[in-house]
Amino acid sequence: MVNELEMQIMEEIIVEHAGPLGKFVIKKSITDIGGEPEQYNRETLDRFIDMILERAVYDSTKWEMIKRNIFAAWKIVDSTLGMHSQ
Amino acid sequence: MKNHVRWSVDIKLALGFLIFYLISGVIPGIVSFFISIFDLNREALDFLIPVLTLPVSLIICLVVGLYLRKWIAKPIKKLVTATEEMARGNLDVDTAVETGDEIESFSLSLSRMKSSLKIAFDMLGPPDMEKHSDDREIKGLAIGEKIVLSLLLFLILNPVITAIPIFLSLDTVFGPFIASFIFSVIMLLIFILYLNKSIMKPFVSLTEAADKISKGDLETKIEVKSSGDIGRLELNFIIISERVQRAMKELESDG
Repeated sequence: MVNELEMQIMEEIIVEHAGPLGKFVIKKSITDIGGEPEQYNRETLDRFIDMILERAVYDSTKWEMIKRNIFAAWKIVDSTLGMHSQ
Repeated sequence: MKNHVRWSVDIKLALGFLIFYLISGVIPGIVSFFISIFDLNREALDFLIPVLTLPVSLIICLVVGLYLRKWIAKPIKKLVTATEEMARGNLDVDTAVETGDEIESFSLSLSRMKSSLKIAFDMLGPPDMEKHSDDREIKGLAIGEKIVLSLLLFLILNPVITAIPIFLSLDTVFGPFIASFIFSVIMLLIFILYLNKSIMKPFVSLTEAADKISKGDLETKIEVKSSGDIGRLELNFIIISERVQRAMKELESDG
């Protein structure tokens, strides 16, 4: 469900808040959830993002905002790629 | 990094000096005007104008110094203290600064590094505080002190420098008063350039490097090249980034 480009975007957003170890948290969360992000369904994807946020962003008041930003960025990527493919 | 910069620090500094220059330049005129109301003789005027001008100029110096302290020196001092605390292992320190310039950008980089250190703490336990390669002491004047000293030096030197063409009756194409004004503007530029070179340039380079490191480019190197507050920031940021780098290696080797 999440392609490589979308993972990169999420990594950038997480690093923007969590610093260099944000990348490590993403890797660790992939290992802990199991499987590849490309194969995650909506429910697993939600759990995956929540796990990253809990581990990487200490200010819990920011979680919702960051999650929204990730989905919004993904939506832009989807629509841009969709436009290119048309 | 540039996204957070609304007013660059060097523009704030230059603006502060320019306001100081303009106000201190017109003070003798204002003082002369008010004294002239009292219809005093020439000797009294010659005595009263400098005597009244000096305290007023000092007050202006104080006001501009306070403005520069609030917008530049105080937030940098806060970050120096925060980085010192972080280097000692205190990760609950407040790193937030809202100045809309490079100082805010640096505080955001610091906040990222703080988050990374917290992640490392959670996953690896407390860091080994002894393990950092640099424990030298950085000496030198604080930024606030440098700014105030520069203002005072400017206040003392400006009348002397501007008086030179008049004193020598320099016969330039512009006449002595215009030459005096040009001397004064050149001196203002020299002061602004000095402060920019000694404070802002090293700070902006540090901010750019800190931004890259805090976004994961750990190959970027920072060297301690400055004295005073900026030197302390450079050293503390090196200690913090070394700690993050070590944690990253440990986490990667743990798998």
